[in-house]
Amino acid sequence: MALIQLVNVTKTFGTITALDEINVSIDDGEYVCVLGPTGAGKTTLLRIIAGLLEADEGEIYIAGKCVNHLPPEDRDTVYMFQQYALFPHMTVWENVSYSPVIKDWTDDKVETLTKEILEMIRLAERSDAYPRELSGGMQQRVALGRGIASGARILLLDEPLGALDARLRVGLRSQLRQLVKDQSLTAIHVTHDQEEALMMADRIVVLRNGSIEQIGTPPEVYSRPQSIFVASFVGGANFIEGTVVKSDDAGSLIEVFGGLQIQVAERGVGAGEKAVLAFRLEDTSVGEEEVAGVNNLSGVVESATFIGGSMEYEIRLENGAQIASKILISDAFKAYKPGEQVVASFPPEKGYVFPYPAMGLLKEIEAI
Amino acid sequence: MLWLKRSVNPSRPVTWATLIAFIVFVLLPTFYLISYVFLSWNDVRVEVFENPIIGDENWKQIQKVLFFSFRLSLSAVAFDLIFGIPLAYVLARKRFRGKDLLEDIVTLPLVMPTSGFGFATLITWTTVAGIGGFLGLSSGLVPLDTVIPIVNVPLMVFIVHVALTFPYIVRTLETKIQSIDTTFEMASRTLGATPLTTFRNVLLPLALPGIFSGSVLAFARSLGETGATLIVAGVSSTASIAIVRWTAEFKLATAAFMGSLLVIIAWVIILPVEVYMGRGGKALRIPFHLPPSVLKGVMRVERYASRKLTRVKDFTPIVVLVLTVIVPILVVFNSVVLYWSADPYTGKVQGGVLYQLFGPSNYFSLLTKATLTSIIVALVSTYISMCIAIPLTFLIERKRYGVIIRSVLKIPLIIPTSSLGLSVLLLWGSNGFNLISSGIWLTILTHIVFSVPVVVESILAAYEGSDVQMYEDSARTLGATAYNAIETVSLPLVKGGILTGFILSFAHSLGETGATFIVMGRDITVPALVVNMVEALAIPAAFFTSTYLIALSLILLAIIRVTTRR
Amino acid sequence: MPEVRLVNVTKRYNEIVANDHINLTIKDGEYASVIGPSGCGKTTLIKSIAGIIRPEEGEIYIDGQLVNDLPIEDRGIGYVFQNIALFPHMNVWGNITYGPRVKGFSPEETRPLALEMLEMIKLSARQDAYPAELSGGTQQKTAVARALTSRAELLLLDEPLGALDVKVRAELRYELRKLVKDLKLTAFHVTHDQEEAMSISDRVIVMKKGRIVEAGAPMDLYTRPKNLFTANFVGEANFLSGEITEVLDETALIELKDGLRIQVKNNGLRRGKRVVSAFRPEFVELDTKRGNPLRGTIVNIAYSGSMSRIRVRLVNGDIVVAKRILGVKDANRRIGDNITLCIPPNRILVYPYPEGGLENELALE
Repeated sequence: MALIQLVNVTKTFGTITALDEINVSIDDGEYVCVLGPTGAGKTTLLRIIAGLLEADEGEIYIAGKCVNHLPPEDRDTVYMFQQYALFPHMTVWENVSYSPVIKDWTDDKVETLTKEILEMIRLAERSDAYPRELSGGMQQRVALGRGIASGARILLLDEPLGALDARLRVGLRSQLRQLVKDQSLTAIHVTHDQEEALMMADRIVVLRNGSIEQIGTPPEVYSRPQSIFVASFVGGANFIEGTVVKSDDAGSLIEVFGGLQIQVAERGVGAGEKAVLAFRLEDTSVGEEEVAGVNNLSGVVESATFIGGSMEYEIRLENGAQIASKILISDAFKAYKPGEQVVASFPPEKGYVFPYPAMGLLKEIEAI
Repeated sequence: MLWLKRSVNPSRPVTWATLIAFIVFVLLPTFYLISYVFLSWNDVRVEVFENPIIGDENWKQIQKVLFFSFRLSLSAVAFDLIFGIPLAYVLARKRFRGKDLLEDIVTLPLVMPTSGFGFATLITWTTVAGIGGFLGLSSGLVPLDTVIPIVNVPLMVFIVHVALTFPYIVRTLETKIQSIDTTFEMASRTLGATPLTTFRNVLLPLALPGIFSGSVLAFARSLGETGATLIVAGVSSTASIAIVRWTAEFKLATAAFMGSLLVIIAWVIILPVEVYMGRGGKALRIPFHLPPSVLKGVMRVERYASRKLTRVKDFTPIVVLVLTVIVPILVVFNSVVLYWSADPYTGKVQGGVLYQLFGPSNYFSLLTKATLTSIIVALVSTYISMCIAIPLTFLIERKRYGVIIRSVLKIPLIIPTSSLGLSVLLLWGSNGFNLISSGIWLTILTHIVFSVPVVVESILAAYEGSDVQMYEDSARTLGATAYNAIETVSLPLVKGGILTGFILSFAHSLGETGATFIVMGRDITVPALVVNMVEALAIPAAFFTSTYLIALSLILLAIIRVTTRR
Repeated sequence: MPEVRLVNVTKRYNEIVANDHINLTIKDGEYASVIGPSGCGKTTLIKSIAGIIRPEEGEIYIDGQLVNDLPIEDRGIGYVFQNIALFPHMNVWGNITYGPRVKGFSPEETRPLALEMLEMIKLSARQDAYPAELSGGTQQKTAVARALTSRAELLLLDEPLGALDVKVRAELRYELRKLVKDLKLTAFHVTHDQEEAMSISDRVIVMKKGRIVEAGAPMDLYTRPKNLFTANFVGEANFLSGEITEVLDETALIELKDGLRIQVKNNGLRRGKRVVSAFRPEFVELDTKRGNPLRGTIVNIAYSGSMSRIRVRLVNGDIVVAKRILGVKDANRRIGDNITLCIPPNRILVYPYPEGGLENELALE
């Protein structure tokens, strides 16, 4: 039985529909990331599960019980704010032990548990410090410790790493996930950082404008995106308009502007229909010659940017379209310079085909 | 640490008790006046419009008095704006030594006893004990009945109203400006605009809601000002003083009618502003554009002023402040010393403070009795107000109807105190419930009406300023009931606001004159005593009492400052 | 002529030295970024150049002119703020034309400048919109355009993308650089996101605790960082401490914990010296035969879309992370499996062991 279940949950603020008939189940012990751009409704969703907001329609079940009208303190959930919300007038010890004290545990139990948690978050020597004396990373750990001490089975994390420097964030991802797994907790982690979600989640819920676009494991969401938005938002991709010429067991053959024909292993759009071809930057290799057995696109390098560990090329194809390629630098690496003729290639298994969107391609992939 | 176990949730009963107390002690008195007028409409109609003896003379009086009040209040607010806006800017944006002191001086008129202050202003400008004497004149600087041309408003009344309403504009605007992210101004500067141009283009439009709100509050405060005006008005009469006079003359219906009019006007002005501010107080877009050539000239002036005239711009408001607030205080303190044993000009002992206090008139015993009364009233009313205000604040923050309560709470702060007094008198006295007659209890009930809003606003400021809602939510998800969360998290975080509210309310109660005058009966408070002394021409005694009162309020303000500094 | 020159710029806040005798020259037309952990002093630095903060010591020259006493509005700069700061009571057109207007440009001069700018950021159709109606990324583009309409030649960017979603950031980066290069501006860009700085700059300056630690082209900082902090801050790195046991002509041998040995290139190393070896996760290979073989067990496999991070505990207890695109033959790897990591000697950088301890040196906050 799922631990958390949302059935047709809807929430509106005035004329804006923040959540539109959301249906999702989360199992006990799962680490789920809710991923989406700002304004998608992620925080609203989290707050409704916590009981800080009431849904307008639909039901929320926790451990089989309908909790719609249950106040936050009676749900088996604990909410972590992006800014941590550590009680400024209490020390680290008092913050971490807040929940057990409120729940009226015996003094012994409170002390044992608090000590244990302080050890776990490696802040035992700073138990008398006040939040303002601690660094961002430390505050985050205290917030986590406080949440875990509450004994709640479900951790609701609202951009838990968002307040930290980029470099710090990367290091803390695995630590956070490990902590949750060690305690056998269930986590719902809201973020707009797709790399974070891919790294940390057992399952990802992709949210956009109040609706779920796709739910799946990170490999599923990454390798089998069900829509242009998901392909673009999670991992990024090259998109080229075209028409499907042939659709059979081998997949789809798409003809793009200029007559070039590309083969992808997917089906999904009928022959003769307008479609959008997509393939990831990381799946696109760049070389000087055509490679047998894969799709080859000739063009000229427009820009070459080095981004820590990878080289990113923008290539102008012969037919005028612009694509990008991202390659890890390694020993056998050759750097190409703007102006050079190259051939970009990707295998059919790494290509996707989507129906051409009604509102136009730009609208779907536009981030800004 | 916890007073109540998690299992017990007193939320429901507490909510109901608070709401009922709010309605009975605050809401009812505020609006009773209006319902009285409706209920006794016939009496009112006869007395005001169809008086068998004087026809509609009373109605004409009402109109005359209203117009006068409007002229007075509008000019006071205009003056406030001219000097208040630059001062608010300086306080909100700049850091300098003595800033705290300046803030306190600005706050002073809010806690000072109005009658004492009125008296101090009076002697400063119109008698030889004040500036006149200081400059070597043989009489006061200006005669009592000096009138400002064009607006036709007596100078003394004008000065007093300016001083008393100045804080409303400055503090409201200061808070508003502080809430505006400085990044906008920095952006404007990096784009090439001088500080003054930045002020005009960026800060002013964004701060307009604050100017609006402050002006309305100041206007309403001026309309309702009674205590100080009673002392300096001389023969002229503002609307709120008229109420006091008519009540004394038992023209209750006329007084009630006037009072209701003022309450309705106050409400009509405040409500739209509250709604506007409640919607976030969006900046107003002025569709008005100056032609480019004029604009160029304006900017050149702004560039010049930004460089050379900053000092002038900063100091002028301070000078105004000092003249209207500090100097009178100094004068009255000085007078006590001067007149201590005898009148310094005539040498007569009977004109000295000591004689008046301990001699045949024995004002001293009256003073001790009045002090006791004042303190009891202040303590009891403040205590009861806190009991109502603290839960009320949380209701405001958590419930949907909280917005309504908050708007309604602004009303007792701005309606004429005399109306309020009359309202309470009618409600609880022989014309209404007939439970309590004039005296100390009625005074306490009256003071509760305006103390509750003061405490609530103090706590709300602390609550919103420290983002307490987020901590509460956090505590709730950690397992605390609403009550637990408030007790362990919210209250500690707002305790500064509670303390400030307590002291402000206490000080205000100590110095309140207008409403107290109407309801006190024979239990005279100290500020009312000042009024009596002035009317009985016992000036040295008045010196002493005013000094005494003002000193008390200064001490209280200092306590606030020390406790909130932490 | 150098566009921006900082000489011994120092600023203190009580006991904290935010900028400690900073000496820096940014060439005309250069896109320079300053990166560093929170509190390193980068924001203080950019605000000093703008005139928002006055340094206590030192001089700042913009285009050869000493600007220390020049007020903000006279420095001729464009400034982009982290929280965007578009004037909420003016629409896009009003915001963009603000600079020229307050500088006294006539309407005839302003119009073409503003129209051109709107074209460049592709927002001509939205000039009547108010900031609240625009998305975060669009707002920031508008803010950049606003900063540049009056033809400022020095653009200062203070964490310009910090308030935006990760995806938006990635897209806006390119537009930003393109705009700066097309207009031939000098740009000074402060950020805590090293990936952002690396992708957008000609030169990256690394700051820590008020000082400049290192500066150089992104590729150089990445492949040949001159110190441990830079190695850790710019990109990810593995660090293994040990002692140099043997020195030959071209190579040297380092002995790690428990006798594990790795071979590195010799550039001036001495025997017996305590060192830290550093290498990037991207250069760690799995079960190939090239380079230093290090045996261990897989502790974690973290999937990240196109590539995965494989965390390995070596036989001596040290932890090494490899970052690779997992191919078909790697699909069967599981946690607990034995694995041999191979690190090419020419990809290993060697640093003296820091006095204050390794953890201290690498600390990111």
